[in-house]
Amino acid sequence: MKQIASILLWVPLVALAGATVSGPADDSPRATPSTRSRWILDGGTAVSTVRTAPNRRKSASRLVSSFDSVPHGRDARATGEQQAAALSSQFAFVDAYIDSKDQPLAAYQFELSALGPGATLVGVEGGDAPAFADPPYYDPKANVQNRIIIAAFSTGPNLPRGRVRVARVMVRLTGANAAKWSAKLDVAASADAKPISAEIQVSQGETP
Amino acid sequence: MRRSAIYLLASLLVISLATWLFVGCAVVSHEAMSNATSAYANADLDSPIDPSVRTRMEQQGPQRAQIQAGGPSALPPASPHATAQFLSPQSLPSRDEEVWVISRPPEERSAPHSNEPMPGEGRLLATQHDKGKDVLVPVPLKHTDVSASVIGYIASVDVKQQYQNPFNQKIEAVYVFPLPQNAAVNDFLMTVGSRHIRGIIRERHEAEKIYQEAKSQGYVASLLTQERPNVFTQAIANIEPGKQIDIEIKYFNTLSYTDGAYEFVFPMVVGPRFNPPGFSEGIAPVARGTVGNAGQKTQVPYLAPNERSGHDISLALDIDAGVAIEKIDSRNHKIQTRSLSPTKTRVTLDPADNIPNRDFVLRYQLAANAVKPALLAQRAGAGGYFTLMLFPPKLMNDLPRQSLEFVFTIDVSGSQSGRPLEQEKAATRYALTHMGPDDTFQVIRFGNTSQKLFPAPQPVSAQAVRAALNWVDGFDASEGTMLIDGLHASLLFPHDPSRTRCVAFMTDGFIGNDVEAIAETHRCLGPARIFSFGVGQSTNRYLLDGLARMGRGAVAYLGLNDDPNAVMAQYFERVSHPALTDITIDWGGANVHDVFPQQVPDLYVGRPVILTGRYDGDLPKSVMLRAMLAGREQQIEVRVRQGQADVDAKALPAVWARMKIADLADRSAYEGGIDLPSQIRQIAMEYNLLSSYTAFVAVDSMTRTAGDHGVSVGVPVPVPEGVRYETTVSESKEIKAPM
Repeated sequence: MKQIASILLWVPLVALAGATVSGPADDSPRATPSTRSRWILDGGTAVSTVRTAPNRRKSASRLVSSFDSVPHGRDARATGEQQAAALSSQFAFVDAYIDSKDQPLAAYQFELSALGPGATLVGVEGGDAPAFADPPYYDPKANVQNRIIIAAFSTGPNLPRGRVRVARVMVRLTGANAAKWSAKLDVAASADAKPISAEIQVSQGETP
Repeated sequence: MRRSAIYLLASLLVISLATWLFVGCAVVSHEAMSNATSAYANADLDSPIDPSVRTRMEQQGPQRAQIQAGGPSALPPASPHATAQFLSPQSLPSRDEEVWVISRPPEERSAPHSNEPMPGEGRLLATQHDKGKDVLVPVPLKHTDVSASVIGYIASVDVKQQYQNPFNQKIEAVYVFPLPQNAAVNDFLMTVGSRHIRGIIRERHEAEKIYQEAKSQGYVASLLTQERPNVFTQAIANIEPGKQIDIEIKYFNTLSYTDGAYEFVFPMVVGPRFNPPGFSEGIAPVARGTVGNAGQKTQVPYLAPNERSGHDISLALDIDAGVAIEKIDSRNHKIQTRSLSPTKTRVTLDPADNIPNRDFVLRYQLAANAVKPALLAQRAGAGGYFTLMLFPPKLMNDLPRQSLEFVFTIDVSGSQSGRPLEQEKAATRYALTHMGPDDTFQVIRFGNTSQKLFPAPQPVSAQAVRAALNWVDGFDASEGTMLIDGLHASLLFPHDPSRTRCVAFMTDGFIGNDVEAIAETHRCLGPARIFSFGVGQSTNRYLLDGLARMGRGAVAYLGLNDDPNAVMAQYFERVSHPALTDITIDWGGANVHDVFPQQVPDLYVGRPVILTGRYDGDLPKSVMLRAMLAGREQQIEVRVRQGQADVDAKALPAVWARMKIADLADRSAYEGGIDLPSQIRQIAMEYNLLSSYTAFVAVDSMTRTAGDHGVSVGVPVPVPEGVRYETTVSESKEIKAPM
């Protein structure tokens, strides 16, 4: 586990500073031999642009989901004060899912970025799987208004497999433009600290 | 025309009938529910939704008012929340639902009037009368649980605050509370039900804006800000009736090591502070329920002497000393100890001693000669962080001192009234009778103004000492705390070149302008030394440490359970030997940088100092300390030890960043021309640390409550043990500026 913690702590985050917005396969050299997936959420559509497994790379592009990224359907009984405040800002959340296929997921690190202005990250919550129920940690050095690097690891026995929600990021949205999100999986690892093939997907949700 | 008149008349009739019906219903509901409301207000805080209250309300069937909820206009905005305890969470009435309207006095019915944060503000009053007994006041803070561990001399502390809304409407809870002045607060969690949300560090202004927006939109949100390095404000928005929200704060801090013992301190209450005229950035003490007019940025509501809240505290501390623990001593609380091994002990606060009205102070001594100077390093990337505890060499104990000019400065403000003043007097009596024949001395008292006993320091003589004893015996404490006046009186008179001036400055430090006082110490010090004495059970350790740090002296604490003679004897021991001065460190060629404090303090007998810094590359196996002692150069070798425990990896960077921020904050108080606040902000953001310029904010976007954001309720706290409410909270704080 120390190895995992080490990976999560010292993955060269600097290399991630230039977040890719969309487009071609990831052919740039990376410091960590880890799984990478990039998902660009554009206008309510999430598209995986790149998926690179250890020791091999391949490109993929597919439609994942469709949603309206601008919060709507606010409580019709909201007071005037609420309505006035809501005009300037709204709160929503972004769920992050990792699909580790048939391998147990023991650790992960991903970067979530809002493409364009108007999004501020205001909280981080854990996921559905008991192994990742505690809120993950974020890297303060990479914590800017609209970008965050999140990491967690579990030493518990019941590690999740397949697609599981690992984190929920609370966000504040301002401005009229729809928020677009980019998620980049830096590393996913098994209990023996070895990188595993995995994909990440994010989707924006609204207050129930 | 005639038809129009008929329509108009009919319309007026309908409106009148509707108004009459609405008012009638409201009156019925008010009368029917008033008993139930007062019963609820008296309910035990542990069970805010008292089943008996509910039963009684349900039994009042014939008097119930049934209202057809016709949308927002049919009910006052807060009504749905008042019913939330009887309806499913977050639900609002539909047309067919029965609605309970719980009456409230008119002033409570209104929502908060401003979006501006008003720490400590409380408009929701719960009036209770119970002659002859303490009155239990419902407060939104139910319990604080402290879980700490100490490895070496670094403490890792987890503080969990449990907030619960005992009222019948939605509230914002605001709690002003203390933490150690050197706490590096670097983690913040909010728990809503079974969900945990980690807060994000943001620039303070931005965090406050986010919090206000979330609050006004009905989201559950929390904000943690720093008012002083040892005073913090926690605000939690939109706590619905009966609901609980937990806040978890984590910090690291280094322990002090004084006269052979480590000291773990957890402060439990902010003392009532005096703010000088014209000052508005202070921390004001206000009586519970009267918040809002104190004219200060931060306000702390206090419980009256016959009031108590249900807020209690539990504390557990695990000590891993690394060497044998010889003695454990809790100064202010009953404790239970369990030895896990010769080097490890678990200490818990006795459950019967759980009122948070004084500092928890635990001192533990290690095996003789087991504590030695050491540099603790932790690698991080291509370099690392370190802390270095410098111990005074034993050689110092053998050297005699030169003649001194003693100044004894005594705080006679209202907060010292009673036992604290008696402790000050006893300590001063000891000092006055233990000076050397070649010393000189002066006695100064300060309250609304300062007064000197003599026009100038007097040689020690029986007559002069007797005059001083008589003067001190006549002191009483009922005035304001013009502490800077006391500093000026102690420092701003001609120095005697043949004697070092040692100012023994006795106070609880309960002032709002503490930052100004620390800066003033730097400006006025000259060749003097300040030895501050914190007198009382919950002193302002930020100020007292700051006075000693800026005064190039040392701090000591004289609690109400301490022996003043013993504390003063240690002071005399400290000043009776020359200090180790002009300290420099030879790093053996290593690239060491950003060492804090930048000015290495002088070393006194019994008082080590801690330095922290960063390095690139590797450190040597040992470093060499060079200093002057009584005019001769001394060299001391210090071994380098690599940190191994997991706590070191997390703690050392946080401790280093916290000390850098403290250093920058000190400089910003008296240096101009450099944008030190922006440097503090940058380092705090980078290391995820709370500071004056950064704050933690957490918003639960999943939990949006209905209606307005509820009233703001300050958490009232008791005045510290030994402090009189009458002379600190209820008296007028407005005094005229000294002429």
